[in-house]
Amino acid sequence: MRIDVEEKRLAVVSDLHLGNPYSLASHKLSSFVDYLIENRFNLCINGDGVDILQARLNALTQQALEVLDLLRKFQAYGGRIYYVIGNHDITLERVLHTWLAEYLAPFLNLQSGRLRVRIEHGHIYDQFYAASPRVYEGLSIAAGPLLRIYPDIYRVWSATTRSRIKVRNVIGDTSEGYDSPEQEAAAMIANRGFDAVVFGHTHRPERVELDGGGVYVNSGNWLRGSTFVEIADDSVALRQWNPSGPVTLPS
Amino acid sequence: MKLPRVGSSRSNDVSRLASRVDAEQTHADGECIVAEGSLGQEMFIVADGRVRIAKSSSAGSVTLGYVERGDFFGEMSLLESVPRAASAFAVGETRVVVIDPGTLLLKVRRDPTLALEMLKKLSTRLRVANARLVDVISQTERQEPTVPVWEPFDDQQSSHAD
Repeated sequence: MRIDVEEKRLAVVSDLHLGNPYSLASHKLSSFVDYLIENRFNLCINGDGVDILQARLNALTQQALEVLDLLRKFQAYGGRIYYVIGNHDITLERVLHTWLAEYLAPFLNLQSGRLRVRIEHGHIYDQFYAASPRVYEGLSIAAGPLLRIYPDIYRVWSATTRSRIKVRNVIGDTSEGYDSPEQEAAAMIANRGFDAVVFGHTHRPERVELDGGGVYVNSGNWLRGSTFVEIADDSVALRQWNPSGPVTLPS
Repeated sequence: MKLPRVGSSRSNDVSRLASRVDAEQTHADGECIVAEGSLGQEMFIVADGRVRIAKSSSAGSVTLGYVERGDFFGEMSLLESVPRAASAFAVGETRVVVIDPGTLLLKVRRDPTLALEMLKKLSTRLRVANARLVDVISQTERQEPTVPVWEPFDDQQSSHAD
């Protein structure tokens, strides 16, 4: 199992949810991959790249083949790909002992220049998932049809969790002062020797300076969005991919 | 600071408690963090800086290696309650996170990747130690070829003896 890696330039994307009929990732990745090749970035897919829970076979076949072609092209130009396992593709853990272990990891500890960066999907810090992964998985499958009504349902869920925590902060039931469990977890991980912690999972792109030092960045999603984290030249930036090129998002 | 209610069934109370039990120490350059032979049950994670591990020998103090940022030391005393096998000194100003036996499980529950990192690191250290042992045995055998340093285990002899 490879968890310690070194890369000068790495782009991190997450939550592509390939196979989900509402995923727009395969339409937008083509120009993004060209950008990565031109700028000599390697690539990390930080969890939920493939959506096993809400996939439909025809969508999975079509989208995955398109993206696999793009990734093959990326590799042909010398690009390296890392795949971190998330909760919608957690079944991939079962192949961690096969030759695919070269490409799959539960998380990465990245050394990039002077920076030490933790890259992890982050679902294990989701209190709901941690309390009962099976219930969470069952509800994720059941929530599939809701995507038809509102494809950004994941962001609504994330916002609801955040609101609940804000209310708790106001009531005084917590003293940590973080807006989300992910921020709190990122602070804890950063405290043991990381300059930045990159999560996905919440679908909500954000970059937050942590109180104890270090930065928490969420790479957002490519189910409906197109945000990514760019790690290069001793900096970690949250960026939005547009067909005309990337735009840096403010903290 | 408001403390979580003890015995509460709320799932995140434990995680809050765990996040609060991370004690830290800051050491100046050259300062001894732990001394060889001393009693102590804490493990340390290097959050900033660097740590030199040294052991006394008949030839004086020997540097065994360096622990870099993000790496840990002192785990033998934490896991086995044995005296410190070596001394640790700060190299430059160094900040360490202190984990004691009472908070290790809470820490791992809150930050489970720490356990995987520890296992991987211990596996690497064991592999390196095995390789060094083989080197030492090979050197010893070259120097004293008539005296075997170790006897290979013989299944047949063992069963006859039984």
